[in-house]
Amino acid sequence: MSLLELRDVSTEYTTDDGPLRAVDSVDLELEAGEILGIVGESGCGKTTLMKTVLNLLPTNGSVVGGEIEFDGRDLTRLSKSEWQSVRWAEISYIIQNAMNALDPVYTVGTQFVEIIRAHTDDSKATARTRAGDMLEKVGIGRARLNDYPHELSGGQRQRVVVALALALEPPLIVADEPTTGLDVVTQEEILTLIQDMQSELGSAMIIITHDISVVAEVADRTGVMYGGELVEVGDTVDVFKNSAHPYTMGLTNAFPSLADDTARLVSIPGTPPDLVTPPEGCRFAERCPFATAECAEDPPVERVGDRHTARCHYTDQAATFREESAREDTWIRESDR
Amino acid sequence: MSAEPLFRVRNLQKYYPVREDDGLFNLNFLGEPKQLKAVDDVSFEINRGEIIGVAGQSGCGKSTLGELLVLLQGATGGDIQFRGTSVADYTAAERKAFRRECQIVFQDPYESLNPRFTVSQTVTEPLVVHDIGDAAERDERVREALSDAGLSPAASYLDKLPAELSGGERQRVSIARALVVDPLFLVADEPVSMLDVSIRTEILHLFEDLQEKRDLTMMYISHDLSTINYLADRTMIMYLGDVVELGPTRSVIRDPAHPYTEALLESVPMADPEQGRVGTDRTASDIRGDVPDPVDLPSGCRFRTRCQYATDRCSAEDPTLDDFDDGRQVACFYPVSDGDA
Repeated sequence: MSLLELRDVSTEYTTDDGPLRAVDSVDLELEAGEILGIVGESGCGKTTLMKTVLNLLPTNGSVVGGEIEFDGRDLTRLSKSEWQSVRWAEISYIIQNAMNALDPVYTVGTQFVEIIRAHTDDSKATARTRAGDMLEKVGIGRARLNDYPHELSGGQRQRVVVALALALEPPLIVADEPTTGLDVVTQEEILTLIQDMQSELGSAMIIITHDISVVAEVADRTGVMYGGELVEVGDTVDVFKNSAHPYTMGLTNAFPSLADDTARLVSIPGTPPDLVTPPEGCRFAERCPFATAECAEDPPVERVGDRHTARCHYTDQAATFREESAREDTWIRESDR
Repeated sequence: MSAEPLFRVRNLQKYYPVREDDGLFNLNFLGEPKQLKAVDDVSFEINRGEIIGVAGQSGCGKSTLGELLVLLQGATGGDIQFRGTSVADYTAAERKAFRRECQIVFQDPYESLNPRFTVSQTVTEPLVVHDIGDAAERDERVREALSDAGLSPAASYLDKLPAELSGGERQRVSIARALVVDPLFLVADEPVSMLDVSIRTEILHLFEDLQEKRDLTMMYISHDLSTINYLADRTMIMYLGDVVELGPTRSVIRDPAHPYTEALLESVPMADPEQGRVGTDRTASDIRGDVPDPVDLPSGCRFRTRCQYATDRCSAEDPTLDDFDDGRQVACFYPVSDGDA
């Protein structure tokens, strides 16, 4: 049985323009110990998906359909007090901006002790020892327990946030853009740290990012979101090498690589759909070079391989699309030629 | 490119005084005020029509260098020659002309545009400042700059406010504002790092096209080596205020000579799950520890504290940026590449 299973989950925000469906009918499974990367561009719904799982939606947002089964319970039905015992102990999270994740007026040690003691019977001293051990595991001396967040460098703060998320050895960790804003060297350190700690503790993890290279490097499974929908999901190698959705192909071809002598990169013309009034049928059709009249109908979720699905009418032509999508002129619209 | 370089930079320095909380200058052991050496004794040239990429970690001085070149900050030492004349000798009028010829585009398109100015006001302003053209000519130049920056039809953008634009469109407005005065040189400081992947590509294409169409010379500053690899003709790697390697992008990225360049490249995640990071002959060249305090720099080579190849010589002597192989200079006693040989 999966550790986490999302079935037909939809989340809406109320806005002045009407309801905005940021996450639309998402099905997703995560096995224990697996790392799942969710990629997509701004506004695709990836952060809302994370907040939905964590029950951290803002007041104008709510889950309007579906079930989120975690370890035998439906997370959408948990009470506030049940959530308090689940958060950190069973599901913890790493947010994007480490400075915001830590309270600036408390020392690092105090923040660890508070979280550990809220979920265990540890004495203050035991909790502090445990916190010190954790800091050492993430490569920061235990002396840093007495430091305030501002006394740490950006990379150190992010390490502290990782340590905090792992302190209670939760079976599931959700990380939102854990390395965005860090420079490459620090990013590399944090990614390596996350992978090492994850494999040591055996926690499952969801990493949300706009950076497909982060996902390529750490994730076992990859999900691609577009316009509130999960358009493709599968083992990372399959999603990158045997992409079945044209949007995934566009994303991977738009990314400059250090490895090859880059011919011109492709760019995906147009902009993502407005989610207050989403288009009928396939949401990517308007920007898709392979779209036909049929794409005005809702595309089916097709199985294209072992644990690999894509939401497209033409998954049977994916191999041809992959070839054509690597060429820049495929993506140039007729009207712009 | 044997012609006169556009910029010739010699021993450029930007030192900031370090002030402690008590308001007194902090003194070093020689009794001199402590200084943060953001750009320390840097010499290089920029050729006409090239895109020079500048890479390094946060705090390495790359943004300061860009601002020094367009005179947004004054240097504390050294010399910048632009088309053969030292900018220090400029008269007020020459300085103003320089400010027209050399433009800069910043990282954050949400912060760098006045929220109360329409696109037309934003892009017209430099023409007003530099007293270029009459109303009709200004209007025409604004439209041309907007469409060169990929905002077309230009007319539909003229009356929009920044809040009505997407991040990519805002960055294009910043670029149009820089282009409208027909500059020779453009500094782009992390221009795509806040943009989504598909929009990022469009902006990179735009820079490529501008280099060709307008014969624009550019300094492209980024911590992202993969976009530098895509765009830049030559690449400069900076570490703690110093240039450690400078040469054709192909050789710097394919066959790095400085251990820091090598380590930086190995940190770049690859958008390919079957591939590791860019492999070099010697593997596992992790950088050890943190970047040292820029106020108390290590003796000798400033990278030695984190370098796995460092020896006693590296703490005794400061390596200079010397010719290494074809068109490339490296500041290291023990380069990790064999070069062309």
